[in-house]
Amino acid sequence: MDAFDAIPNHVVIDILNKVGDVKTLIRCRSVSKRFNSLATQSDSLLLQLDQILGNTESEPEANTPVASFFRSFFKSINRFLPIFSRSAKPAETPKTPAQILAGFNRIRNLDVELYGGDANLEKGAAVKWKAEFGETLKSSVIVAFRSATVNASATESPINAVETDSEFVCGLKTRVVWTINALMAASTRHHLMRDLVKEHKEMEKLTVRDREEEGTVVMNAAGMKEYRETEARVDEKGLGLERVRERTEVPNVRMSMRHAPLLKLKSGICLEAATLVVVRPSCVTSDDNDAELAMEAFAADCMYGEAVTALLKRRRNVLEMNSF
Amino acid sequence: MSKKMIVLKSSEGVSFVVEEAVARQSKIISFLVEEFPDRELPLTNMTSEILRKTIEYCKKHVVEDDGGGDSSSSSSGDLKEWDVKFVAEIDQPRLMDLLMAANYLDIPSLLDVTCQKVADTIAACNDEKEIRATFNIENDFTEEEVEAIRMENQYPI
Repeated sequence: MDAFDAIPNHVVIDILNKVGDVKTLIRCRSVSKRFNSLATQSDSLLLQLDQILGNTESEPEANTPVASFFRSFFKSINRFLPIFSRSAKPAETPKTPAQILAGFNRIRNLDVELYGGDANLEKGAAVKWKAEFGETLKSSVIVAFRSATVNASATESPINAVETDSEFVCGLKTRVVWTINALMAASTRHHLMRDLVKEHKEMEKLTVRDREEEGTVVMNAAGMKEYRETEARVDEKGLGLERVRERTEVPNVRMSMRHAPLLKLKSGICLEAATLVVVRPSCVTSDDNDAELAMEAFAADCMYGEAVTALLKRRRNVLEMNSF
Repeated sequence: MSKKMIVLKSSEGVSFVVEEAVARQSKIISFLVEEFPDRELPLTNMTSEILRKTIEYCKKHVVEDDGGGDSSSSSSGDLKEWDVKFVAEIDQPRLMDLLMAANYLDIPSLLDVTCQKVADTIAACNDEKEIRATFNIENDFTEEEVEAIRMENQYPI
């Protein structure tokens, strides 16, 4: 006797929901007719994609353009961006995420996990980011540091020493590079989800992570609705063909930056060049709740959470950046 | 104060005397106890073995309502560990029986852990043939249907 014969459909669906992983569920579809019909009714799915996203940030080239970016006082950002995207490979995937999930029509929560993380800027630098999207970027929080050391002799380093101007500018450059890279990775992921969002109107939450949990893109029901509506307008105007973009355009943004050359955490770990950046579109007026946004994004993460709390007490520098 | 006991009877007619608080984790028993107090409750679709397992689970998970604070109150971490061990020790056919018992008696937490175990077992299979073999499922597809599903579902990994 079939072990599932006596088990009602709704319980089998519960079981398959706990399976979650799309690859396994697709395997379940070939088991039997009953499994085929029930496997696609799962509402919480995990889709693992073996794909390295656009690779917009392979780094050796980045420094030169960033230097020129600084020389021109943030005005010519569009000029250097093609250099970033040149390294993007037009890798054709056998199936898009939307095609893989074509049979599933009851998705509520979808977690997409990307195997290939986003390449690090510099060796030893850790950049973690979270970004919320609608039709484009809504907000992003980036926490980064160059290195973490266990500092036994804390008194040695003057933690609150005043930075010299050149140190500040050099650090600023790094912070902007980290931010741009995070935003490029985020907007690439957002673009990759376009068809999926279009086709699965039933989705309530979409999260795109990489395996190392370096970056997370989140879209909620309202954000996805906005994305669909914008895309529909674009399609109507017949602009679709022109767009060969690899990623979503990031709007004009305001970067609210805080940093500490050396940040000592309670655990004794010292973070070098600890940085917190809160990014919002320039058109959004209220920018005073950095704390709320940053805390929410990293509350669950012990070390990063503590760093965020400490960095929020630091002085804030605000930079505007043109759409890219 | 003596605790109130109730009697549950398995399909083989074996009676199990259980504290009411333990048995009340089943929403169905909870309901029946109120409707028919002081009656033996026959569970004709459950074997003694499965009923004993179910009671074992309920005993472990009963919440002490008076603040006794004795050694029986386990932390949630210990309880989770106990659950994992509990389902790990059960073989495949009995796990399905226990799952059905949890569903029938409406014990949400037991249904949850048994479903999770079945889900893990499915996930551990390497292909659909192994899933069929593990759960003794008959392949009711024609060859054409199998091919059609395979074409539709090529996964790019």
